[in-house]
Amino acid sequence: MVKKLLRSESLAALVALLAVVILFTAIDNRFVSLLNIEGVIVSASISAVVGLGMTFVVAMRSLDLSVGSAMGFAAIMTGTLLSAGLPLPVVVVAGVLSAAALGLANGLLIVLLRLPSFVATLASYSVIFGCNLLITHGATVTIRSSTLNDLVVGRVFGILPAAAFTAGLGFVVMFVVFHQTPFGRHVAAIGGEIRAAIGAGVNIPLVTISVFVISGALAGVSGIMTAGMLQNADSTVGQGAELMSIAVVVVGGTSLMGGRGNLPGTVLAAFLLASIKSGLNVSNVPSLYEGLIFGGILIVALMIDGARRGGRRKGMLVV
Amino acid sequence: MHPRPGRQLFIFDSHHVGVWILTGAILLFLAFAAPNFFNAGNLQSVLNDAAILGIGALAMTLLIMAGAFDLSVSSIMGLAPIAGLLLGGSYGPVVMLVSIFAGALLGLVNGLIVTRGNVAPFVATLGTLFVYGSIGAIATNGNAIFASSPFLFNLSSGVVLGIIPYSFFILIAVFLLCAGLLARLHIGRWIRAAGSNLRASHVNGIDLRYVYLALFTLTGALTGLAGIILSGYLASAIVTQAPNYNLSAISAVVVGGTSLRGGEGSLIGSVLASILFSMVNNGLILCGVDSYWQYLAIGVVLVIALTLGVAIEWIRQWVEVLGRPVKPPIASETG
Repeated sequence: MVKKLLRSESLAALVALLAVVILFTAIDNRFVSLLNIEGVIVSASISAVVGLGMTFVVAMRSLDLSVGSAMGFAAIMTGTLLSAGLPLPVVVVAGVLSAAALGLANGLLIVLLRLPSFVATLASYSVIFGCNLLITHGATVTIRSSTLNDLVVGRVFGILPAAAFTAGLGFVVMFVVFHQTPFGRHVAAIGGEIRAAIGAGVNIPLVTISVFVISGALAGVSGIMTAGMLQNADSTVGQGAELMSIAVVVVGGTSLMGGRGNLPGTVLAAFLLASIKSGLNVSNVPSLYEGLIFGGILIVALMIDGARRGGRRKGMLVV
Repeated sequence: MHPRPGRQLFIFDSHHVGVWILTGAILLFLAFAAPNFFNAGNLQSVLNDAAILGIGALAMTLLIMAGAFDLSVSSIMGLAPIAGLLLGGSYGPVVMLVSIFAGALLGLVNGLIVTRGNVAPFVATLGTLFVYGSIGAIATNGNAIFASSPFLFNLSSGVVLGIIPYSFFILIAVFLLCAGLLARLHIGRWIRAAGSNLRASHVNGIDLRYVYLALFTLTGALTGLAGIILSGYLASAIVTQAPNYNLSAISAVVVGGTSLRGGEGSLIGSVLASILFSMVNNGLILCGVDSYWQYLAIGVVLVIALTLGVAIEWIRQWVEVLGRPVKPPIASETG
């Protein structure tokens, strides 16, 4: 497992993460203050959770554009049901299940209508986002449960925020599923060479639907975590998260060409992007520059990757 | 399926018959539900919105036919007019030209990253989506800048025959340009070749890098054009003026019957789908429905259009099977 963790793609993200941490600490040592580190860990954990699901989707050579809306949907469900007086465990389960149901709908659209995942999830992105706006009427739902807040930002054993444990648990489960189960191999097989997967008797519809259900459910978890962190929920929760989580997956070293998934890389990339965001904040760079730096890193990382592949043009089709 | 020559010209091609049905259905619905829809002023605003979306959708159609994407158009929609207004002085036509040129330059950068940097279009343009958006925000400090030129304002408010805004004629011109590219020039064949089979076109000696470079530049330029029309309409330019333009344009292309698998596409379908989206948004407002319904409605239209497309393709195949003689007479072909 240590060897796998240190595969070259993950190593690049790890080195970049260390470089960023050292750089920002040198600029302003408030970056390594306890409060700031906690903030970085919480936001990185939230984007890592949704990124784990997206890694599965991308490994299957698909895309899920609906995760942002699904995050918002789960967050709004959580807020609304908590206001209605339901107990927290029920609300959390309902939130995750509803997001998983959205993933199921995606999977069915893809399998039954034989649509490219990009198109199917583009449609559901729009529909779910519309539902989010309709449910909230553009207003914010306040969440008064301090327990939910503790479950995200509260320190466990006095050291790490609880969100890190959620993300860690998610990572271990997904890592084992991806690398140690037939299901994980089927996902990679569909992404790598779908004809070989069909020939090997992989149940493609079932695996496809399962992957989108997983992606939806993890987006739901991440949405609930966001709601717990912010202590409120509105339709802006998860906005832009679909493209951001694809960026996280790709920076983490998973190719959009499918066939392989780099889960440790995804987690590292989530930490990398969260550190950069927080570091820019601490060193007083105006937030207007964030996009420039994010996008720049994304492009440079991919161009290095492209150069390392030695200019082999394996085709540019990415759907 | 073997696309026959001239098939692209047939207006009721199965690939975009779905969008015709939907457009007809919505028009019929609006005739009963919102007779105000047919006011001259309203039709003008529908056609103007359709033109702004349609110009980008046409460029995106060519890109998707070639098997690529451009997600950065949302930011180019803001950044190009900002560049035009900041660098182009106050004379409207110059602002417009600078804006188109800025868009072309941004598109060229996309193309270079994709072709020279060997990066997949999806993530390359995802990166530049962030970068261009950030540059636009830095240039204007995140605020809107004023666009006071009467020329730019007239692009969307000047009308012919009382209902057709000048911007719609620009859309028609862009349509003719794209159709001409596809039908009459070598690049049209190369675009189809690139989309349907990369390796084969490589073997045939087409250097696809130049095809993609040209297409990304064209997309940038046309997006700059659409952006300056929008800025003229709003009388201001802000980098976030069309935040969902990328996904809306891709949706319009898909509803119009272009397959994301590349190779085949329908320009007229994309234009129709743009008009359809614009009608749906406008109709919802006229019916007094909350603006929150708009996203839902666009998503539902997308799902219905896709389902219709699949169903029609299904029916077409069945008709083909049923219409085939059991034992094809050999001589019937010639005799």
